[in-house]
Amino acid sequence: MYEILFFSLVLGSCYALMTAGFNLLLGVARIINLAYGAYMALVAYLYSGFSESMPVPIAAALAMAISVALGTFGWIILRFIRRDEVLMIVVSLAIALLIEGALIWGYGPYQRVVPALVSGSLGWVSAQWLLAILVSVAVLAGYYIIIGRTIIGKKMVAIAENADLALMMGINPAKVYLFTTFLASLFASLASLMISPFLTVSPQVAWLYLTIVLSVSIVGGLGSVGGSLIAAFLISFAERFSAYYLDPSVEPFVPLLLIILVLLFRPQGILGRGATRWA
Amino acid sequence: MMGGYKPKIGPLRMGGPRALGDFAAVVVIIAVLAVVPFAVTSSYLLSALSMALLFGVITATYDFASIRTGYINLGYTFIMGIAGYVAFLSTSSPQLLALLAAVGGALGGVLMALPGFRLRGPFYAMATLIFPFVLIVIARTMYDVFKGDDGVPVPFWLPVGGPYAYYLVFSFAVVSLLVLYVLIRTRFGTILKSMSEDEILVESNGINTNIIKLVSFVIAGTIAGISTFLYVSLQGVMSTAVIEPIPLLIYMLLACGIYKPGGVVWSFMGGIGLYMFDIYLRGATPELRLAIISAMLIIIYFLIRGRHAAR
Repeated sequence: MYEILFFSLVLGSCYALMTAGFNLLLGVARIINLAYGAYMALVAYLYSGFSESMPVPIAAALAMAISVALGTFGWIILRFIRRDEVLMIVVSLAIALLIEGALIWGYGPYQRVVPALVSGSLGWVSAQWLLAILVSVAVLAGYYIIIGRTIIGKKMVAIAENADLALMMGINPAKVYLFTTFLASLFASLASLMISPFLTVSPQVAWLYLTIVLSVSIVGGLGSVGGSLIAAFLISFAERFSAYYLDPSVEPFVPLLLIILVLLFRPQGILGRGATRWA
Repeated sequence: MMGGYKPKIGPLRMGGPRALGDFAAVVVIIAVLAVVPFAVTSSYLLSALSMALLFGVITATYDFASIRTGYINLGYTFIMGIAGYVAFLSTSSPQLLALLAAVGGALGGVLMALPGFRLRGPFYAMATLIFPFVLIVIARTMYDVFKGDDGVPVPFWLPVGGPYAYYLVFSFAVVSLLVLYVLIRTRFGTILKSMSEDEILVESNGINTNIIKLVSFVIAGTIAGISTFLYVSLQGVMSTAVIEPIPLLIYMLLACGIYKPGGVVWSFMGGIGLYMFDIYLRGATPELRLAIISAMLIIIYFLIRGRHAAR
């Protein structure tokens, strides 16, 4: 029972971390990035590849540095497509397919094991589990400090509320969007390093990541980081407890059921804004 | 929502010369497809053409319910999944299979329409994209029931590759295309098109757009469900490959955007052409295939931009 509780916490933390980046981009920069899952898969592959020839911490740091640089650089593409929602969806899907193709080309279509960042355990608690929770809590706490206590954070909030008004107040949106992209890339990279060791990854894992991100986002509220936090733990606990108390085969139905319920009764999600129509 | 909608589809209107052009195109397509078995002797090619015809029908239903209304649905293959699993997990009788696939398709259509009651634009697109992915996860996790990527074996009832199977599929495709073609020429079809232009204006005329969306998706889902039944029967197995949104959905989007989005006829032809192109591409390496498909995605955008990008 304690193991189930703890593992729900671990996965909930990972879900929250990976969805936070997606919703940050959506909430502040109004960017729908369907290549988000593919980007996470790329991080997992880079880390897994580097770890074959260097110590795990250095491999993780190198994979992080490269992927965050790539993700932030991706803003150059994203800034051109963010004015048009259909274009965003289409181009980000195309980028996801290109990344998947590149992974197949570079690493083959086979499954890969992603090594844990830390080995060993504390009693029955795996060290990787503990690390996942600690990193998620630290990063999300850091995010709320940035949002609430820093100038750039306040600028992000201002732009998320009303970009035109923020521009009139002298805020440079381009810099804020660049910083938002950097933060989102950082969240996605860290989330990938935390969750990938629990899985066996293949190039198609990108779509699994995207499924989790979209499920949590829809339940929590698209564009809402706070909502995604609640939804991440809700889905994680509901999955684990339904498997424990009902039947393990029920587990995959839980996100779908929650999504249908949310779409029926609260389409904007748990903490989503009232505006459900983007047009 | 407003409740003054009169549930009549109205008289059939043939429209102007452009509509007559479409009608002529339908007649020509049907005539050409009718003589294919006389020109094609290869059973492989005939089987591939039969599947392409069914994909063309599914694409036409997508064009009818999604593109014509302006509700870009990224999870349409979910309907195929629901229809296929409902039918092939329940019975082995061909007649019952067709009926259950139609019911499953209609149910899938209802589920696809529901998010559209409150969401639109990219929110609706993202909400629908999640459905096939979750269904794939369920099919893989509950292997004992759904047989994951291996798939549920299909009872043999259709001799694949022969003229009998082709003409059965052809007859179904003709009837489906005519039903959709007639529907878009009615008042109902005009309302669907108007919704993509200005939904609020349609509502202000006393039309309950939620009912319109629901009915359009149920019609599309029913036809897509029967198409899936035939498609899976030809393929021999109901697996996650039928639900995978990539690349099927990309072909659907592209086919609908080639010419006259929402016009049904051209998306039907585009669906056939792109499915045959996909069969040709299967000889290429996976990475090259993905690169080509992603390039196609960009093309889609420029094709549909003028009509839907501003939503």
